[in-house]
Amino acid sequence: MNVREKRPVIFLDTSAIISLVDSKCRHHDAMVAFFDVWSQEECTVRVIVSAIAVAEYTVKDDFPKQLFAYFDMEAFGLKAAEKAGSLRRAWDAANGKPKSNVATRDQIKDDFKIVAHAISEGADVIITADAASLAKYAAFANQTEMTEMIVWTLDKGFDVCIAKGEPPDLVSNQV
Amino acid sequence: MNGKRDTLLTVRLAAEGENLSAEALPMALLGALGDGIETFVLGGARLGAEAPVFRVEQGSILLHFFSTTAIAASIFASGLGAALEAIDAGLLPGDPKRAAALSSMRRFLQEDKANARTIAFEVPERFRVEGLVKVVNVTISQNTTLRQGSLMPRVFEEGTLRGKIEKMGNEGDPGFDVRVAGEPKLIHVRATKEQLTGNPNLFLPIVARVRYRLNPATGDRSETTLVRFIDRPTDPKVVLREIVEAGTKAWADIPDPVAWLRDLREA
Repeated sequence: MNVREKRPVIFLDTSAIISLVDSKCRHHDAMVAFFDVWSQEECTVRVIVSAIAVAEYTVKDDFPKQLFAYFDMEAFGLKAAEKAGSLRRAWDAANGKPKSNVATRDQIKDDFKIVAHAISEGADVIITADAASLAKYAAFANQTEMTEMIVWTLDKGFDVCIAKGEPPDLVSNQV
Repeated sequence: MNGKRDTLLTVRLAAEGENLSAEALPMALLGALGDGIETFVLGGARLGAEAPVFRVEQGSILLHFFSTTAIAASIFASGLGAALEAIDAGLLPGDPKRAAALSSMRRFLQEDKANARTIAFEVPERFRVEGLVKVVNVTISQNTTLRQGSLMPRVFEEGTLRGKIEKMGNEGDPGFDVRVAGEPKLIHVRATKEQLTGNPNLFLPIVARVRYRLNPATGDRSETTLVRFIDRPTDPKVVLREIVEAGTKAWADIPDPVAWLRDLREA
C-alpha cells in the first residue's frame, strides 16, 4: 500500500487506548504525544477505533466518548466479518485446526476481530501494547499477504512519520 | 383482524390533464386491472390483507389497500418493498409473479382503454422511516421500460465522517456536500432541516456520524445520511486532561491493564 496516494490510516487496539487514558501505563506519554499530533485540525491521518475495542474497554469502565471527536469509531461490519473469517481460516491452515467447531467459534476472539477490522479499513498501521496475541495475529496477516499493515507494538517505539501523515521513508524517529 | 387497520399502500391511476371517472373504466376492465395490481401488491399471497377499495378522487382512480401495521410490514418485507425499489431503479422485480403483474399493468396503459396514463404506487412515509421500503412513490407509464438486473445488496453501515462542508443544500434537499481530505469527490450527505438547524456552516470542519449503503462488491458507499454531528472541542489538550484524569481513576485498581486485557481475551 502506498501511503502517498491516500490518507494514512492508523488503527488503535484497546491496549493503545488504555495506554492513552491511564497515566500509570508505561506507554502513556508516547500515546499522548501521538494524540497531540492527531488532534490537530490540519492532521490528515485517519485514526480508527473498532466498536469491539469499545466493548472491551467498557468491561472495565465507560468508554471516553470525547475521543470520538478525534478518532473514528467504526462498527464491525460485513467486510470486517469476512476478513475475520478468512484470517481465521488461514490461521487454522497454518497452525492446525481446533478440535471442534465450538472451539473455532470461540476462538475468533476479539483481538483477532480487531486485526481483521483494521485490515478491512485499509489500515497502514495498527498500534497495540498487546505483543502477546494481537500483535502476533497482525503479523500473521501480514505474512499471508492479506495486508501490508505494519504492527507497532508500544514497547518498541514508533515511526512518527506516519502518525504525522508524512511519507514513511522521509523520517524515522522514535518517541 | 387484530390490531389497528391502516393504509398499506395506495395505487393511483391518473391521466395527465384529464379527469378519470368511474364511467371511463368499465367494471370488467377495472376488475382485471385490480387483479393485476393486487397480485403485484400482495405477491400472490393475501397474508391477511383486505381486498382493495376503489375510490375516485380528484380525477384519479384510487385503489386503497388496508391491513394492520404488522401485516403491512410483513408484506413490504416479503418482496413488495424490493419490487418497488427495483422499479424505481429501472429494473424488473425479481419476483416472477410481481414481474408478470407489472407487465399486465403496462399493457393496460399501452392499450389506452381507459385514458389512464400512469399508475403510481404511493407508500405511506412511515414505512420508509421504519426501513421497510426505500421509496415512497413509484410511477409507471406506458413508456416505462424496465430491464433485467439485480439491485445492489442492501448492506447498511454506520461510520464517522470528518471534513469540511463545501456546499449546503436547499429547501427541497436540505443535505450538504463534504470535502474529505485525500478524497477526490465531494460526499453528499442527506439530512433533515431539523438536524441542520444551528449546526455547521460552510467551510468549517465537521465530525459527523453517518449511515450509508455499502456495495460489498466494490466497497463503494452511497446514500450517506446524517445521524448526528459530533462536537469537536476547541482545545484538545483540555479534553485529554479530563479523559486522562477519569481514565487513570477508572483503571487505578488494575496494576497492569495490558495483562488484564490479555486475560479478558484469553478467558
